[in-house]
Amino acid sequence: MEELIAFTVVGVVTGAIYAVAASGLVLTYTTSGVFNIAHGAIGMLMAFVYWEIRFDWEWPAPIALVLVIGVIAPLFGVLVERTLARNLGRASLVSSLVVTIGLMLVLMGLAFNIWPPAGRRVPGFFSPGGVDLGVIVVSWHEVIAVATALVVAAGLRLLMFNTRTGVTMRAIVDHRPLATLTGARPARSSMLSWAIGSSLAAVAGILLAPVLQLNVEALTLLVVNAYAAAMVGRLQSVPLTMVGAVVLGLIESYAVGYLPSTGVFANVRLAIPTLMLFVVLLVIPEVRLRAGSAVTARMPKLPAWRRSAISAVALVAVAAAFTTVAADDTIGKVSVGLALGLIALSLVPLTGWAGQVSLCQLTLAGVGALAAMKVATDGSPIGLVVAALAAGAVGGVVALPALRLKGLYLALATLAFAALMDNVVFIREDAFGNFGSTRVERLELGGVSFAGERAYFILLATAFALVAFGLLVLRRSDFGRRLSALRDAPTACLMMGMNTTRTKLEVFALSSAIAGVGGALYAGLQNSASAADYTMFSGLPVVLLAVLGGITCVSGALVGGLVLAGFPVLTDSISWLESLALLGPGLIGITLARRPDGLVLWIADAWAGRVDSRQREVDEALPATVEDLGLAVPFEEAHLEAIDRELAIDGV
Amino acid sequence: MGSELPSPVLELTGVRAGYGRIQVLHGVDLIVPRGTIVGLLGPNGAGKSTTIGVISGQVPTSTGAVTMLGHDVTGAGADALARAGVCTIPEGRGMFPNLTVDENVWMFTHRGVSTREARDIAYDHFPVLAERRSMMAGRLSGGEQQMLALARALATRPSLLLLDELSMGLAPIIVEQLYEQVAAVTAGGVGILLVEQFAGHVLDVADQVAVMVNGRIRAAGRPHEMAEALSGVYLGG
Amino acid sequence: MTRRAGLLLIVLALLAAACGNRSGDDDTATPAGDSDETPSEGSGDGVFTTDIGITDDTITIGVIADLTGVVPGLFKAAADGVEAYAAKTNDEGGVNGRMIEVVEFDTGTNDRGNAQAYEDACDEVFAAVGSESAFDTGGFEAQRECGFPNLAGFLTDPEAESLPNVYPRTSGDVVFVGPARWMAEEHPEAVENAAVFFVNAPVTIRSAEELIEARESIGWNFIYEQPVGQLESNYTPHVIEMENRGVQAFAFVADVNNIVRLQVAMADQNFDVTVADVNTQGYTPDYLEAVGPAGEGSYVPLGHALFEEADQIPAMQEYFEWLEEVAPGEEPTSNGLTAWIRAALFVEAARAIEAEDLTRDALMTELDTIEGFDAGGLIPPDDVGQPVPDEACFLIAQVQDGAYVRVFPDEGFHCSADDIYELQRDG
Repeated sequence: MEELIAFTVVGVVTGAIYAVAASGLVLTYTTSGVFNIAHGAIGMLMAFVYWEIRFDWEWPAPIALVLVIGVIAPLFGVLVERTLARNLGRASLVSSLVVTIGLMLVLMGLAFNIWPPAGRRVPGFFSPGGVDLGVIVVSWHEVIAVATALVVAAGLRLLMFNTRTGVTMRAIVDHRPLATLTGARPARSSMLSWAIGSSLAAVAGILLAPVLQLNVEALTLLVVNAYAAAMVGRLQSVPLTMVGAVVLGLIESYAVGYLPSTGVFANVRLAIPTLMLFVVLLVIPEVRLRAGSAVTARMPKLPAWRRSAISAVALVAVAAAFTTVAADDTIGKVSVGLALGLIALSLVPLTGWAGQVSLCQLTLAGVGALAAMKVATDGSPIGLVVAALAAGAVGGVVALPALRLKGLYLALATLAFAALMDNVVFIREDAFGNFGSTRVERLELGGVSFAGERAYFILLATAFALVAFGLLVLRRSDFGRRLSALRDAPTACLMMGMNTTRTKLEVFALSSAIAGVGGALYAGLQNSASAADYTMFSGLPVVLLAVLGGITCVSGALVGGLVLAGFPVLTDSISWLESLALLGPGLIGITLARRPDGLVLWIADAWAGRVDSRQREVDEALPATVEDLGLAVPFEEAHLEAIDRELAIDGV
Repeated sequence: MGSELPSPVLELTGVRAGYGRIQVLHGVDLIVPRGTIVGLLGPNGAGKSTTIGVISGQVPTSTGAVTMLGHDVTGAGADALARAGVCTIPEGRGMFPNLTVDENVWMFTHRGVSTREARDIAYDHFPVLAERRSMMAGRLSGGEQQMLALARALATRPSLLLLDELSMGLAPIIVEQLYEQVAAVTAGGVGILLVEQFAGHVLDVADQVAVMVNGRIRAAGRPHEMAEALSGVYLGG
Repeated sequence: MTRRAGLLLIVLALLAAACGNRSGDDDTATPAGDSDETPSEGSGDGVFTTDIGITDDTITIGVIADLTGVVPGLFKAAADGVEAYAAKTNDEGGVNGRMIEVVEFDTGTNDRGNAQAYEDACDEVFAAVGSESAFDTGGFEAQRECGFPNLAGFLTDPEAESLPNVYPRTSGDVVFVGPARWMAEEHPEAVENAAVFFVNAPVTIRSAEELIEARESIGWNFIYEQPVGQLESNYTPHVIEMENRGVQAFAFVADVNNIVRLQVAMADQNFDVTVADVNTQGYTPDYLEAVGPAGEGSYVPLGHALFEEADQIPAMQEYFEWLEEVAPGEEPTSNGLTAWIRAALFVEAARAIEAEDLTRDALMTELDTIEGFDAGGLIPPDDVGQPVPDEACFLIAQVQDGAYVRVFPDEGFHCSADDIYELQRDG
């Protein structure tokens, strides 16, 4: 009994910190429509800033707290809102996710550069000491954490229901156009919500710092645990989020006390937050999330058959030519871009064409690498086939629960799946070996070995060209049209009797198979595969680069991969860029706030600039037709004539 | 505010506007004088709602000018116009369903009236709302919801009132009552633009009627003249 | 690049710290190797170009290290250590008339970069000295194919560790239990109620199994065995469990961050154990800084001399001085010292060979014969070519008033043949 009380107290304390983190996330999401992946990173950065002020400059704690929580964090939130988030609320889901992923990478890079890893101590508030409950000592810091959670809960409640500012925020969520028509300023509300969200992130970061140490990735990723709590509140309700947070804290705490610590239970215990997220996503009734489509990037015009084929051949030819002039070192680095590009390519049919946002493609690539590694230790091509099959099968299984999920829910479910694979499967000794890294032989095809850098480079280019060409062929097919329908009008699909379940399963399996092949080839390129290569976290930049190049076009994946690979090549020749290498992808990611179509279409537009503007003039002169407006009841020409006649308007 | 200026409350000159590359309004000219109710009629898809959008600042104009009380307000934001005295009751839901009646009324105060004043006016005109002040607005009946929407028009003392499809889905008797309230407001010199697809009630209350077809004003005049012109052909009969 | 950021960083810290020292109480994370893969002469007889990296007046050596990338400067200390020793050697007149030149090969902190670094090093330098990288699996093939002398600071690939061209030789089949035995003798009741924590990753699980097996043979008894996440955020429930079960000693196979989290949670609960074994990784200023008062009394077993005793060890002072010379402002670290020691080993071996006979083969033959190498007292005497030494040596320091204080033995190292525990399980 005493033990139970002790674990309960610990669980509540843990839950309190989750609650603070999750409530900030929920607040910004509900009021601005942006699910801020960088929420934890903001908390991390603010914890470092607090350390700097409090312990490096040695300012008194109250001043440091007020400065960080009351001034710096809110200002930072406002800055983010003004520069990035303002237009994201109405942007597509995938753009807003990618931009906040970019922001997270930038903040992590910044923290690394400003505060290189070293021992930094943030003692708990009034440490040591606390309330001795007999069975357990609750430190003052923990008391403060629980009190903070209560104050935050009460404060948010007060704000949202008892101030006009808060009521306005809720009004904007409820009916944005009407809120504007009453004179409310949505931009101001959004700014305020980011300021408060950022402050709450800072509070969570500062509360966590003594527990987790000042550790960039620990502080950044802990908030992922809070996703489960936020989901209990359906990303809307702060009180329910608080309940979810405490439940999560309790489960984690009881698990230590009452679950066996050996065997599979150990893995399960460590995966509790992601398991809970997965379960909550599947169990809670789906609420109407913010309207807006998953992907708004334009679909490019489908190139003609011959052009696709010529481009594919040209890619291989260029690659071959490149190997004759470039140094081994450079080829190696560009190869990485091709391999990651291939994995990114798997997102084109899934996300770009079918509108299903997945954040676990790199995990599926890892499944492919794992399968290939197990079956084809000698580099036999069977490995690639097995990689495709295994990843395809796993992808299909992931899609099963995901079938009822849409948009952000689906994205978070795939994220949970990736984290689950990290914790439970990839970490096993029989996965990537006892040292977490296993050597992988390169492909040998019909007696031809691709062990050399140049040969492997050409192999990667060929694989990319083949898959890309295959996808273009597919897009012409009936299947391709079904994908577009799924993306643009999911409801209409259902009404027309289209089997969306089958289509979703098919596209998930297809995409996963591509990722699997990409993963196997990537492992061959590295000559090794390790759990660290295919983590949930490393997968986020892959999504970023796919969107960066242009999620709707196959060439986008190539461009994205090459841009990402281009950084190390650049930094080799220009040394001051080195510190930028860490920031580069993130910085590019956040520019997507303004260019959601991606690089390829942007460049294509710029290229065709003049033609385009002339076209626009013509368009503007054209009166809209009934069809253009999507009206339910067509107004026939006959009616018009009748009115004109009755009104005796001339020309009849 | 110089209320003795002779300029009309609202004047549109040669307004073209649309969504993206699709142009909906092809040069609209329209005047709403003070103390006047203007009815804007037209078939579905004629551009009536776009016209409301332009006037309320929700849809940008590509060419042409919007003038209010002699001031050029072309391109002003919807929230700024609202605070300046343009009250728009949009089609369908004119209230926040997940806010209580009280909170809805609180939102009126963005226009610069005090909370107390807003409540007094709203609940004086519509006592039934006072009874339901703690209820979520989404749970009110359709008529009560429209009352809540109209309460804003009364409480915020606008210079221009835009009413989009007020009669939709309401019993004629309730529409009648609402129109009486609207007419009461005009005593204060407000200009009102009523937009309806179906002509019936508009012809009874409006001082002037304009007919919009395919993005242009096809005709304008007194209601009775228009009534004859429209009868028999107009979709709403 | 950021593609491996995040969780990987923790793995890195883990690997780096776990493999930081060869001859100390490395039972916390000695990478396991199969017994039949102990080095055998002759299996690495590739084609050596006898004079790669050698001119009439220079010897070029390379240090392969994680210098840039996800964690900038992760093992910069290794490069600094080698550079420092090279500077010292050149100041003394070089190696039989040749000056040492050091080339730093940056792995970019990834597998590919490690492979590239080893390939380049093979073509450009005479030997690799003091290399430290968390990505040796990537460069394994390159190392094996090249077969050049690799006097690694440490290797993070278990198979690479047993390559015939790697010095000093090590074996994954033994665990040095000296420090654990000393703790058991000092606190016999405490170690009978011990807890062990380990990060839930294959390498650390394996290490923990070895640790448990080895220590149970000398009187430890583990009553609480707990895997933790790399980002374990909440140690309080564990502390409650430890309290409930009467735990009086703990060992930890993890990165410093996790150890600090546990000790801070213990301090918050006013729970203290008699034996807190924070292992070799506890020997960094970062640990002291992060753990604060919660670290008081922790035992730190070491396989090299204490920086704090530099005034008694001239070789340590030399390390400090030359480090200041080549990298002003850098703090001495275990990793840096290890690289320095490898460079000292290289110079000692190279000097024993006539200038005109200096080839990679000759160097390795010489290394095989070196016995009792102690780098001027920085490490216990080591028979470089022998995978399993005759005796295992250690010293133990304790955290007292926020500083490391030697508690055993009174001076130098304690060595004993009994402290070499041979693992029972088959690989």
